[in-house]
Amino acid sequence: MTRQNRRVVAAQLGESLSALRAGVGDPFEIAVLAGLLQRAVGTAPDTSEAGTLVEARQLWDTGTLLSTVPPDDAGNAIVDRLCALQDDDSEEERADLLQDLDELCAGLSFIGQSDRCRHAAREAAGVIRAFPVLFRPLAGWASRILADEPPSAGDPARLVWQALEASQFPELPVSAPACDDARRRLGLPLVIRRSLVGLAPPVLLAASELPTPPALLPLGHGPGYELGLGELADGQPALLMTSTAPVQLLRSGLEVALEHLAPGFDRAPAIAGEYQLRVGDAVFAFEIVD
Amino acid sequence: MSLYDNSSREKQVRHVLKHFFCVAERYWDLTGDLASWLARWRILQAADALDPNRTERVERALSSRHAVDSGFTEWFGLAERGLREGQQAGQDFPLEEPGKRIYVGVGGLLIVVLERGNDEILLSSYRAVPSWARRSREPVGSASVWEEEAFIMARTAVRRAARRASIGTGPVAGTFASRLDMESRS
Repeated sequence: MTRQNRRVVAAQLGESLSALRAGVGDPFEIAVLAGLLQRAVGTAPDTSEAGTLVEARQLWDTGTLLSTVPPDDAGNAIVDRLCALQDDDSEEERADLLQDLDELCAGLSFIGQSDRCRHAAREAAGVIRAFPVLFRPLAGWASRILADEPPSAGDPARLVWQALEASQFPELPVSAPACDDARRRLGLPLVIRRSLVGLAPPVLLAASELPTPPALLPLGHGPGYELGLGELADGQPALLMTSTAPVQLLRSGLEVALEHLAPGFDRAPAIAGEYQLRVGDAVFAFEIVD
Repeated sequence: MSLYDNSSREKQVRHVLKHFFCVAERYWDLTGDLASWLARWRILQAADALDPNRTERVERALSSRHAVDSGFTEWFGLAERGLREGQQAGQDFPLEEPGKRIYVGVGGLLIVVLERGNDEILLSSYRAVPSWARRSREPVGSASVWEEEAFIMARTAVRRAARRASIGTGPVAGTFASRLDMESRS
């Protein structure tokens, strides 16, 4: 959460607490705002934020915040609306629905009743995974939420934001049999798309300890060799091979001239066609398509 | 700047049914004319034409077509008004996509637009309804409860627009604005 957004939530929590003191506020709104603020400040609230959070916790301790807890089906009703979304509904309407569920989770988590929205959050995450294209434009936003105001591990909203963040991963076209392992076992060539090399690396703002992604996409390996898909200086896809024995690369039965980059390290343009990589007795068959 | 709606008739009908005639969004709070809203809502209900996923049902009867047409005129007019209010109050939330922004008008009306030269294209307009605040409490004779509920809706609109715009670069609207807006109405 940016500092400004954090201020908005903190100020709204102050307003909501004042309204409750005046006898007109909604206790669950306080739980929602306190839950959102708690996520944003983590363990470093400023004096004012700490004061409002303490007041909200006192209201929880006295049971006040439990007086207007939403019904158990509140989360399911949001999921129903999520399922009813259509292609032409705006991104902002989708974002609003997700924020509705997020706020419900934040409020219930603050009062220790996160189990009441866990099922709905799982269902919502399932909807996002089932129709990632509908939600993909919101993936960057989800990443920012996970980085700046992460729901706690026990907060079901985490499942929703993670599914939303993951919606940016492209669906790779697969052909039957879909599984690469199955193709290998059946002796069928692996099908590789040249366009894989042009995919932008995903942005995962909340993930800080992932290893640096490799510069090439591993395609296969065997005794004494490794094969990967990388790119040439001009951005065109290239096959990169490392080996401990002499390598022969055949395309449609004809030998391909390899560019020797270093001892045991060769490169060739990845042009569409059927290939065989021969290293000693090992043969690795694959097909490159556009 | 002028606001335009370039969407198809089907989409316009869908917007009107989904938002203007949605009971939870309480658009009559913004128009100030519950009787007129309710009369049209009943016409659509009688024609079984309130489902935003079945927009074709609206076209079956002249009365329901008229109800939706006048609903669209009011819905669009409120979006125009909300955009001006949002601009004047600094309730303007730029989004990541260049030219796309959310304005928050009085009463928590969200207006999503895309700038095109000197014009703004309306993408959507709706009231952010916190479903967790909707419950079976009937405040008969209790204006203060409805009033507080209106404050909650206004706060929700500002908060959600601010959180959504958190990846934008522009200014985020000031705090307490929702309550000030509401007070300026009363």
